[in-house]
Amino acid sequence: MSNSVYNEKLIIGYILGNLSEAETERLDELSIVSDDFSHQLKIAENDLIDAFARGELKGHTLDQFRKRLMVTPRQRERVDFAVQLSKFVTDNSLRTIDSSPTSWRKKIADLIVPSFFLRIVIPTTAFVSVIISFILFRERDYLNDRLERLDNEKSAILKEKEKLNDLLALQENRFSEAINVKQQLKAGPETAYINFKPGLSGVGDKAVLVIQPSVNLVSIRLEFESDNYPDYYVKIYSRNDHRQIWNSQSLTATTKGGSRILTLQISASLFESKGYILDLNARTTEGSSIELSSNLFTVVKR
Amino acid sequence: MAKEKQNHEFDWLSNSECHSTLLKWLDNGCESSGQKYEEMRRRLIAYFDRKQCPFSDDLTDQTFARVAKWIIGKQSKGLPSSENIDHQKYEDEPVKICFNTARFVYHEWYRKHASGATTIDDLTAELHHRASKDKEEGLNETRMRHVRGDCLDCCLRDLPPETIALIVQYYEGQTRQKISNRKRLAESLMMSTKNLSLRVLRLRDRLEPCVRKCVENRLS
Repeated sequence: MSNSVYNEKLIIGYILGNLSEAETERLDELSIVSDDFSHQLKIAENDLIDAFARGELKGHTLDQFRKRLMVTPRQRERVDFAVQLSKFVTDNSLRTIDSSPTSWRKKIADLIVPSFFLRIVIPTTAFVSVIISFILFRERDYLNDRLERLDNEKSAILKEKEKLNDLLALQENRFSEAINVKQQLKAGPETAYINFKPGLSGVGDKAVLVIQPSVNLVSIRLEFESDNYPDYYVKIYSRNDHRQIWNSQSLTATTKGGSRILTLQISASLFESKGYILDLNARTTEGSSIELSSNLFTVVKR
Repeated sequence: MAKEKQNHEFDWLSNSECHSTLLKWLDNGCESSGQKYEEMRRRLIAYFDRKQCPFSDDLTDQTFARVAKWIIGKQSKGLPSSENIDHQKYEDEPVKICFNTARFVYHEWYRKHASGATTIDDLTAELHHRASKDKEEGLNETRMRHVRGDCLDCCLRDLPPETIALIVQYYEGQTRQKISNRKRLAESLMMSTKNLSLRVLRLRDRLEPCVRKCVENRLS
């Protein structure tokens, strides 16, 4: 039977009951006696049922479908089957293929998908992998640089910490010394005294300074008679070798009656058990130096 | 009366000798191992379905029974032939005889249905049909979908993967996209679109009864 006798439109009209009685009768016969028409009819029916199952039918076609193809139980079964088949096809199409490794659907996918993978998925995946690798390399370099910077900063901080520790130790030592000094000051220095009065200058070894082991300060009081000078200076020498052991800064004398008085505070540690010379000088307003007295004394250290 | 006539006709068909005579006659001298019978049965059922007969299986059996009775009657000359069929006109064409008989069976059913001449048996069958329909509709639709889906999976499992892939590719897409898909698929398989459609049709014709039987078993 040639296609000039029936075509798809005619077949659809026949299925939906839109043809004349005579035409319907003719196609009824063809549906039984013609292999070709029977097959085309079944294919068209299946396509129509599938279209209904996917919700593609509209308007008059949909109404006719419901009147003609959803009446008998068998027709409804065919629609149910089409719904399930449509769902199966959708679930297993390339867009939503189930990748469960144990699923038998995977076997179908393996058959359908290779060309798709070869053409699109593999190149795309490769491109994306290259991009991701590039980004990761950049990120790695950046992190390495940052790590190096942090290491340098850490070294600098450790060095600073060492310096601060040293400084702290120094401060602690000074603090300890300060505490000692404070304690000493609080206790008060133990002092040995020697007093030089006018007229004793250059006279023998009568002046004796005894320094006990506990003494750490020597107080020397100089009383003398002279004109009033703005500045006075004192120097102490070792008597046997004339080595200077101590000299004063500019001193200002106090006046008591007709005498002038200077008081010196010298560390006891400077002295040994031997003879010393104490020279007293003054500076005039013109700037010249005048020797006022030279005093001998002997130190005895216990 | 109608019941007696119908049962009488079914008896003819249930007789194995009558049945093999019918198969042989449908083969028309060419052994098909029952394929001609199955194909004719499928077409007759589809014919009655298009005519919106609710019991297309029964009407098909009735058609075959009448044809078988006519063949045997003609062969033995002693048995009466069906009085409603002018078989002389179609003697050499079994398919035409089947169609002519089916048309008669349909008109009988239609007249009875249209006139409201329903017998107790018809009513019982109708009630039975409605009961099974109600039972099915009463079931949770979600469960039914699940059962049908499971059954489709079971039936597909018996097919080779490449066959399932063919089904998926054939039915994929909508309207124009579907048509172009099929053209491409046919080209890739080096066959015409028509032959491809026939091949898939045969697969579907195997699947549908398989799913139907599976659903019936699950629900029984």
